[in-house]
Amino acid sequence: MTCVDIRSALPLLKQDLAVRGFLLIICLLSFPDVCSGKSWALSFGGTASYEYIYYPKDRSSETINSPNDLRLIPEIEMTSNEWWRIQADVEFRIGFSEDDRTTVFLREGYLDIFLSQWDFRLGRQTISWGRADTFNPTDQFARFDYWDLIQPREEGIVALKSDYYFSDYTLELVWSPIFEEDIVPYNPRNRWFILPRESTLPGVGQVQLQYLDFDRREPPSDISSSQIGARLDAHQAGWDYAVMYAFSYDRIPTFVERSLLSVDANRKTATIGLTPVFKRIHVFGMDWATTVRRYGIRGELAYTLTDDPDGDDPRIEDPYFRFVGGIDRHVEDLINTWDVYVILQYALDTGDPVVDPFNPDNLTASDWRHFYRQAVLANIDFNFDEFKKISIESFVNIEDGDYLIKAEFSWKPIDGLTLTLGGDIMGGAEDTFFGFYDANDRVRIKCRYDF
Amino acid sequence: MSLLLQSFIIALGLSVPLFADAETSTRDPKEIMKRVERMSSARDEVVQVDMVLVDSRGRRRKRTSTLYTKQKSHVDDMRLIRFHTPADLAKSGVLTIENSDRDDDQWMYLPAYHTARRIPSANRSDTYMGTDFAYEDIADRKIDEYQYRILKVDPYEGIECLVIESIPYDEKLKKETGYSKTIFWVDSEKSVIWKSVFYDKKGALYKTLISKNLKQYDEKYRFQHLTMHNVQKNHKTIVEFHDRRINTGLSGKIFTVRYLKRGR
Repeated sequence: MTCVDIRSALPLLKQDLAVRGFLLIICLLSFPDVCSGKSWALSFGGTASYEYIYYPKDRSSETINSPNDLRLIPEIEMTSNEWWRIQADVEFRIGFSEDDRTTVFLREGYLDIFLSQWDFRLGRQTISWGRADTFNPTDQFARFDYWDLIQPREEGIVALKSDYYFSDYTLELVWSPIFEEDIVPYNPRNRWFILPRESTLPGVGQVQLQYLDFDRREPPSDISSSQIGARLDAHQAGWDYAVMYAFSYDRIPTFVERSLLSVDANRKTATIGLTPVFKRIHVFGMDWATTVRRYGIRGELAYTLTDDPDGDDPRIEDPYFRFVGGIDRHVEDLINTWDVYVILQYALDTGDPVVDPFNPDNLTASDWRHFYRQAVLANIDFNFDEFKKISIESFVNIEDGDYLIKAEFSWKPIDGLTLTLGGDIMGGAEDTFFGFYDANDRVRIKCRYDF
Repeated sequence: MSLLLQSFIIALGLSVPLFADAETSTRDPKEIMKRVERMSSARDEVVQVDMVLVDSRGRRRKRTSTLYTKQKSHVDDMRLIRFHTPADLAKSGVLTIENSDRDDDQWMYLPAYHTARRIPSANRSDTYMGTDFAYEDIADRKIDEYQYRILKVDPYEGIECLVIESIPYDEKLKKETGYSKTIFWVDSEKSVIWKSVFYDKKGALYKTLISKNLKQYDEKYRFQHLTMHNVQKNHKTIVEFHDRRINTGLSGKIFTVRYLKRGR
């Protein structure tokens, strides 16, 4: 077991400007109500969870198991007089497989102000756009931690969001002042690392590659990297629909520049410096949802105008469309007293991932964004009762034939406690996305307690 | 019936059913059920709901929630249920807007997904939120879609009740309902139902609903305690109501996706 010093993570919390700003706002906002003796309420909750993952195919010591994390996420909510609310949840995480995963950070911390026709939310928050299942091409302010590629965790961003309500419409406006990227593992020991782990150097022969993650060069961490977005949402005559525009960035690097820093011919190692670069994108999109009899029908379409509209720069993707659409159906007592919930979807992505000129056979960061051209997704939940269910999620890439199947059984023996036993299987030809990760088939055990 | 025959029957001790027949025949069961329906409906209502689900092995799960209802029109209602416990359901909710002319609008909010999801309106016979109630038990009953018959007068818990049989009449309803018939023990004086017995499509005993602790709120009567027992699954839902407010002018803004997503 790894020895962990949780104190080493505390400076991260102190450095987070959002936290300090958030605490200041709490004090300012609550002061008048507290002084005037008006009623306000404080509530606490949260989750504690532990997940262990076993990889039967690949037990190499050169790769680490993931996530194998113990997490405690306490939540606090303070509210008063129906017109404001403050909510915060802080994640305390101990990574038993990798020391870098041990950290403390503010997952979400925001102030809500509710006026007659306006709602405002300021602070670190999760913004979800889109109505399709599984993939959301219009979800441009979502940020993910891809340390575990097939179980990405959504993280908040610092933003000011306002919702203006009129008639059947809602106009959402978002301003995120400083760009925050997705968390992508650059550690070759991570199982989802996509760069080559070894290479051949002239005069040295085959060497093991080590990588150093440099600070990103583009965009700068200042207000010039602001992102904005607008979404007009409507609920009319049995339909929910929205149109949106976002001026944002690729959150997974557009490309990663590499430079050879040093070579140790004796130890047969080379150190490569990595500089991820994130380019601007304009995204125009729409989403919709309705129900017909007992079926749900949902879809989403987005056009992404990249920073290389004319296709001149081979490092940047050309503009592309993405579409996701499908149907879902819940059937009660289908088999005995089992309820079944089915989602079927078709996904299209016209974007071509850029090719690494030095390793054309290798995946690139761009492959994470465009890992299929046409795909079919099917999710099935068998609910034996309210407390026991089997969930199966499957992804099949129609053109390349690679696939991912995730299955799990979850059980709630007592209120708040959820025990999960699951497995993930992936495969396909070696040059396909999930074929590349073929050795990462795994068994998962998770224990989660909500309080 | 001749006087002689009547005297003969009375002499045999069958006077009570005869008396009931005489009384029940003077009452219109549909009119009684309409009065029950009027009593159960309100312009708006909000109530705290404590539910206990008891499975066949006696294991108990507790749920607490707030239920808001408001009339949208004279036939359609709006309904929002917001869960408070258990912790993994906290702040989640379901908003239902009934529409007579098309499918109901229904959205579910789960905090983990940060957004409200439009979901198909459930079948009448589907279970309501994992309880032993069906959606058709929760929604207002459309009286004209059933045929009624008074079976007898029966004292229930010391109260003289009319026992009324209700059978689906409307063809669409016959297909959609989970019940072939329902028998109600109706207190016609207060226009409330103390006990209901439900039979499944095959005519077998399906569920019983026992109501207790009747309380008056101005001109309305409401029970504070319900027990729905699914006899076939041997599963029970016990419901306690408290902090009920009726016709207080509940704002229509509560019955919006905006409020649903607010999570409180």
